[in-house]
This record gives sequence, structure tokens and C-alpha cells, in this order.
Amino acid sequence: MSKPVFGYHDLRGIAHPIKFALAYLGVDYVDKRYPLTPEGLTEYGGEKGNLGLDFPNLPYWKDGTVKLTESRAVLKYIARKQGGGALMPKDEVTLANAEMVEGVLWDVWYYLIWRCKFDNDTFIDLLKARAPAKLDLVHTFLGNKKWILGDQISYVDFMLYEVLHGYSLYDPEFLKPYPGLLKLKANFEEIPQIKKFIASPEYIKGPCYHPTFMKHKVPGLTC
Amino acid sequence: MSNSKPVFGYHGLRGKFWLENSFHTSKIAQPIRFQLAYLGVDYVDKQYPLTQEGAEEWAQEKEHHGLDFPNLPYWKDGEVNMTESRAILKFLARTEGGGKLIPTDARSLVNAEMVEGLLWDVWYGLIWRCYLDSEDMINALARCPPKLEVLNKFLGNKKWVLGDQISYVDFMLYEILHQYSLYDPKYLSPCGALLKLKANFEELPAIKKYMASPEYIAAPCFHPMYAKHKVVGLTC
Repeated sequence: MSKPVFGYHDLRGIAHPIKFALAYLGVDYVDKRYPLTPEGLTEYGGEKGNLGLDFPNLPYWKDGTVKLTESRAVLKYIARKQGGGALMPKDEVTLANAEMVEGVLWDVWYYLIWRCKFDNDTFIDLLKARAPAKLDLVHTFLGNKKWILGDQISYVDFMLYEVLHGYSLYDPEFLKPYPGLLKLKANFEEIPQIKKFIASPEYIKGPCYHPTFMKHKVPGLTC
Repeated sequence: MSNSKPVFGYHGLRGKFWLENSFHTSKIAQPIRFQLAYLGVDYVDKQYPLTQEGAEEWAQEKEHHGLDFPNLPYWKDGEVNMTESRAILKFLARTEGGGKLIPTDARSLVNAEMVEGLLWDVWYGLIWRCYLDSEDMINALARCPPKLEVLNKFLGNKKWVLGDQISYVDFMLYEILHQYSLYDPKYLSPCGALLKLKANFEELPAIKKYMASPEYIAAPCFHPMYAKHKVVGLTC
């Protein structure tokens, strides 16, 4: 049986929680990266229709059982299928909380992505108006818990880490009001499998978002 | 467990509400209302009026509902006090009606979540275009119709998105098709399978009954005061 394949641009993007989850779970896979050049975009454009994907897009995940796109769907599929489903909450209330936080985090993440992509007053103001208040709510929700849902790490922590990583590159002062979130971020980096992955040649330090499409330039984040 | 009815709180709209440069935002509601009607759930449909008074009513209540992430819509049923429309939709799909609106096999569930992601993008293309009415957003909307066509192909001859069994994703899909058809019917004219699904949804007895009821909000979808691009039924 051939290895599963994860296809994405050669950056962190919205796919990085998936890569961290695969590293955490010890999954062996082919890390197919499309370069951030016009040639890379052309390469993907050329392959796109032939990958057997119902909804061609990046990232994609092909593992012999499924051929998937949509990063949240991929992350949750891997959380359910791999490692005995350790990264997916099982009881209804915890799962409802997970999906609720997932929704909030997706918004907070996209405030940053849109701000960088469009670099206009609408999205600069949107981030300023909403990101700090929502991060504050996430911080309060985290409280004294080790991970966002409690003692057990879940797929939501992998999303949360990447959101915090992006904001700390955008502005190192941004997360200072949220020491609990900074503690979670530091704890995440200390997880042995994560630490090993971060030190490995496969790890992508940056950029986070595609330089070609991001008007606002921030080293490590968009260039 | 509370003996009182669960409460679903939202604006007197189908959704979404968006206010530029403000913390105030809210998600999408109508798929949840349709789902509750389909499942025959008895609940309080708390609708905040689209007036200054309605906005003030919500602003005053917001912090007092025991919500971790105060927002609209909210769902309070004695077991959870929750927000985030997709999370609510899926929680109800899992916990009501014997869970019949949530796929249980891994393959169908992942297909559901994949379509859910696609639908969210397609929906936001329309939401941004109507609320912001800017060149960027008009251009971004142009990327959505091809996605609808891919979805049309995925639907194929199936009755519902995942097959014979209706699921929570069909409730999201219906609302998006409803809103796109109000915006401009030409977007859906190449999508015969999607149009057939839309018509079949409206013929479901529980849905048909709900649409004929006084509780049903036919319009608008987006807030008339804040959606810059005016489309009858959609934004006014």
C-alpha cells in the first residue's frame, strides 16, 4: 500500500495544523509541496483536474480510502481516523464546544488573513475591532485548562496554535494580554513529537500565507 | 435538565448580519431554523428586531446568557449554552431526531464536512459582495459559480448531497441556493441537479408546513440597514 499524500503550497497556510497533527500522530506520508513561484502555481493548475478530487483545491489528502479537500474537513478526518481518534472529542458537549471554538478561531484567523490579503481600511479595521475581543474570550474560555478543551489535547489546539503563531508574527505585542494563550503556545512547542518536527528539515518555518496574494508584507508571515 | 423549552436566539433575519468596523457580527441562522422545523423540535424562536431597539435589546442581554462566546445565533437547551452556527447545526443534527441528520459512517461524514467547507466559502462570497459592495468583493464573487457547478456535478443523480438520506449539509445548501437565486437566478441556471434539490427541499412536508407558518421569515437574509448592495428578498 502506498503512503498517503498531503498536497499543499510550500508554506504553512491554513494547512499547518494538519501537518502538526500528522507529526503528533506519527503518520508517515508524502509531503507534496507546490512551490510559491508562478511555475508552482502552474504545476498545481496542470494537475488539479487529475487528482481524483471531488472539489479540487489545496490542501488535499489522499490515503487510499478518501481523496479530500477543505482543510477543516481533512484535519477532523485525520483526528478521527488516526491515533485511535485521540484528537477528536467523543462526548456530545465537548464536541459541541470543540466545534464552537473551531468557529471562533476560524474567524480570528481570517481577520488576519484578510487584513494581509486586502490591506485596506475595511480589513485593517475589522481585525482591530474584533480580533482582540475574540482572543480575550478564547483566553477566558481556556482559563486554567492545559488545552482548550481540558486535559486532553484535541484538533482544536492544533488550529489554535497556528492562529497564535500567525498573530505573534504579525505583531509580537498582540498576544501579551493573553498569558494563558502564550502558555498554551509554549506548551505545544514542547510536546516531544512537535519539538522534533519543528527541528526537522521537513518543517516549514515560513511564510504562513502566499506572498503572491498578500498585499501586506510581514517577514515570516507573508514573505 | 431544564423543563423549559430550548431557546434559539437570532435577529429577525435569515442570516447573516454584519456591521462594518464593529465587534458586532453574527452568523447564519436559517438552516438551523429549518432543521428544527424538520426535526419537530419545540423551541422558543427568539428574534431580535432589525431596529435600533432590537440591537440595544441584544447588546444588553448579550453578557447574561451564559455564553462563552456571546454572539447570534445562540442555542440554549439546558445541556448547552452555545454559539457558532455550524457548531449549533451539527450539535442539533447529532442530538435531535435520533441523530438522523448527521452521517455516521466515516466516509459520509468526511464528505459532509468537505461540502460544508466549500459551501461556507461560496456563501461568504455572496455575503461580502452584498455587505461591502466593493470591486474586490465583486471580483471574489466571480470565483463562486464554478464551485457551485462542481457541487452540482458532485450531487449528480443523488437525491440529497450525501445520497438518499438528507443531512445537515442539505440544510446549509438549501439556504445558499435560496440566497443565490435571489441575487441572480443565472448563477444557478447551469446547475439543474442543485435546482432539483432546492425544489425537493421545499416539498418536504415539515418544511412546507414551516414555510407556510407565521414564524417563517421569508426575507430578508442580510440586514437592510447594513448591506450596501440592494437585492429584493436578500438585502431588503
